[in-house]
Amino acid sequence: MAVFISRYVKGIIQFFEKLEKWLLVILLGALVGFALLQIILRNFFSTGLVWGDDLLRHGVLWISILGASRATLEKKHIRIDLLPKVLPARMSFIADFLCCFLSFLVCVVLFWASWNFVQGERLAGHTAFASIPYWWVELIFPIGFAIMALRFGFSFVSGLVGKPGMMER
Amino acid sequence: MKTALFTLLAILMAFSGAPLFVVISAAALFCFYLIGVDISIVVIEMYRLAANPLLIALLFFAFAGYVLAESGAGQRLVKLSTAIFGCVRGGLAVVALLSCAFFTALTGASGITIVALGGLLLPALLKERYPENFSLGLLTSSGSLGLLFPPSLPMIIYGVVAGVSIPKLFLAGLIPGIFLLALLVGYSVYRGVRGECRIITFDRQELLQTSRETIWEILLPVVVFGGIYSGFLAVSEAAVVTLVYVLVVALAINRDVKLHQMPSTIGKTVIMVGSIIIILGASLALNSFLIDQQIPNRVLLWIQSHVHSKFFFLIILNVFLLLVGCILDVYSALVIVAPLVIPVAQGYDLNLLHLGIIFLTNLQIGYSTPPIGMNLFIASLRFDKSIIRLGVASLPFLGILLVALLVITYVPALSLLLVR
Repeated sequence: MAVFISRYVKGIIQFFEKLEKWLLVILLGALVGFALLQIILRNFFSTGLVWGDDLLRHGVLWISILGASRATLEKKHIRIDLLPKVLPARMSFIADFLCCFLSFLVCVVLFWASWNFVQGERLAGHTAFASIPYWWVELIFPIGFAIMALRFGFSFVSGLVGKPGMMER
Repeated sequence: MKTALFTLLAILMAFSGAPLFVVISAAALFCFYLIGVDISIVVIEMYRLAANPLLIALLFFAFAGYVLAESGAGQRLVKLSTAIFGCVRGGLAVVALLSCAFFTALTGASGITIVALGGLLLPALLKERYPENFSLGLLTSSGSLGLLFPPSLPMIIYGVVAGVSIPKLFLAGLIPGIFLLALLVGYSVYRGVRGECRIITFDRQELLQTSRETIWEILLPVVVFGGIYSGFLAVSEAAVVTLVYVLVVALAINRDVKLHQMPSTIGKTVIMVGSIIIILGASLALNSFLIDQQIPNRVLLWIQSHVHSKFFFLIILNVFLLLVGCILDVYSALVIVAPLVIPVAQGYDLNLLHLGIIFLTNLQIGYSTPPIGMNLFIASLRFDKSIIRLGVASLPFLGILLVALLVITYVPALSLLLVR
């Protein structure tokens, strides 16, 4: 039973990681295409979509936050790992373990804060480009922080069973 | 008491390797919580990221850089500059410096230069009998050499944080960058001549052929700057055009990057950009707290009461930035430290463009200094040499960079000549 569940969970995670990767590829590709279209429209046809710039900037925001969650998965966040380099292996393992736990907590709080933010925006009801409500595009904050919290949480749990968490895989 | 305990914990966390964005976010959350403001403000401040068109430029330039790094552009550049400079004494060292600077400017000083060009240049230098330590030091410190040349990504980040015009910043970096490069070239030629290193015979045919192969990369600066300085394109649009140009050249003309490599290239780009921008977001939140509490003003008053002359302030600034550069990488250093330093520097009547160049020069030096100079680690992996040995080998180059730093700091005209 346990084996079955763990395989099931693993399958879901793998599916999600693949989905995330392709979402990023499509998002970036679409963004490049759209940006190019805007330039062509502006310079050759003296026209363009008024909300185009807003869309591009939000696209970059989405990519950045999804990229940051991806960086959490691949342990590629920018950090100062001075102590783990000088401490003995056992100590730096514990430091690493604690870092995962604290990062998990901070991301949970950020998730909560961004959830409240989005709720507030939903009630305010402003619309962004192409009459999409602003809170839809702002949903990336709670989504991103939830993914990051989960990933830090996973690293922490795998630290419990003795695997390195924050260090490079 | 609470604050002291938290600060201690945050510093401990930062140095034990917690992601910096987590530490900064935690600080922002804690600060706002302490003064009784709803902590959603942290996310609201982060959302200001979506108001900045320069981040579009950052993303597209970074992507273009990664595509270039995957393509054979580095090898072609080395081949071309060897055909031009290989025939003079010390020429190969010049080749190394110039191609590293060019490549770093395009790929954004994220260690790619050492990985992509180092393995190519080290054996070539050794073959022409350059001393091993000299060659190792040269390549290690060249890994961040192009920071002052457009379209360097750290420059764009400084522009975002300081709110200065990117086209002007690009111009401001040009002369200091050339000056720095010239000093290093001078030293390398001196070593090459004294060491009686071998030279390569000049081959006209070879030069013609390599120029033809490299023509698309040679035209790249025209694409980057043509749009910006002719006034046709904004910086973010120039980045799009550059990216499309690089993609077309790599995928369709030279065909040295395959379409199926794109997902992994995009993956790398997105991770790098995401990990920089999330730190930027977190520090937007922390800085809005600091400004709200007038912390930068208080720092300025405190420093002004102790430091009276601009001359002395600049020394302190440089020492401080060198220390920062030793601990933080260039992006987090800019994002975290620049907002605090900028108001202080303005108090001493320092031009923000000039300050940017001082910042970048310092941080570039920090790349090659222990304990966490990124160049040292990457070079150590790439060349399979100990970090200590590489550190020692880079010392002469660091010395030259420090001299250049002094000149750049105390001769503002160097940075401001082209801007006025």
